[in-house]
Amino acid sequence: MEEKNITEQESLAIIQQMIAKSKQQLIDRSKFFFLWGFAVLICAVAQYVMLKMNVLKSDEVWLAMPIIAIIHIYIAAKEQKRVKIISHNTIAIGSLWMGLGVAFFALAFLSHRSYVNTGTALDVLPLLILFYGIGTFVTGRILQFKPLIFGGLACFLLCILVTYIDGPEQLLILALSVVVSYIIPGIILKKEFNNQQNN
Amino acid sequence: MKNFVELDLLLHSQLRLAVMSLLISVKEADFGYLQEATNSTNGNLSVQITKLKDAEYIEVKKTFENNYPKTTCKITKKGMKAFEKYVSDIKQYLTPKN
Repeated sequence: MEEKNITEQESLAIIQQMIAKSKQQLIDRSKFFFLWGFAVLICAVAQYVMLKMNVLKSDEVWLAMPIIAIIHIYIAAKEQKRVKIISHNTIAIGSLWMGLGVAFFALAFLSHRSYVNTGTALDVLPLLILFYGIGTFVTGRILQFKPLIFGGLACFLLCILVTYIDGPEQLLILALSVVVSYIIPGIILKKEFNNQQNN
Repeated sequence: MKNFVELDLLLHSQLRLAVMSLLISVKEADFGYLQEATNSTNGNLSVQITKLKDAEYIEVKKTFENNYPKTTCKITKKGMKAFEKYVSDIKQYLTPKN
């Protein structure tokens, strides 16, 4: 392409071609879904096993979450340096998850405060699953990616279902929610990214 | 008989229009990406970017990354308005004349 005069028809063609090109820029978003998906899955299953074995302070497995958040920030900062283009979608998705990330930690704090004040910890599991659902559903809508939309919808159902279940089995529902909303869509996203990279 | 408006000459050029069309759809893009997407030469793209920057249609940020210079471009509000006006003006030329 060079500096030359163009006709009005050519102008329109350039605009259409360039806007389409900017949409083709692909980002591998699957790594964050895998990071959080497997972290929550492992912690949920680990706590379930510990509860079944009557291990005290089983909820301390969740102290791994701030470490996962640090790993996330490290990976995201490295990625940020490599990207050639920042789309409006990337900003929207990033802001959504940033807000949810703060909400997850606020929820943990609220649960702790409830325990201190009343002696009973707030039941955060339905809310956690609801937040996973909001994050994946909205991300799926922005990216127009059905596996994430379905994963989000499944979480909306699971957050209701978990209120009908008592005891450690609730943790298995939490594990299931990250499998359907993070891990499975993450695998499909990765596959799609690899296919488009190879074409 | 229709009175045609004069098109913004800064935008009515192949490479500058391509750059603006790419920047309108993203928050920011780096020089390498713009060069790759427009298939232009380094020198020519630099000249056209400078013209757009001088007209305040885009913002150019120069940073260093691993000791290499990195140039990032972003469309300004003025650039966005100019682009929208250009698209609406061009429509006049493309619709059938009465």
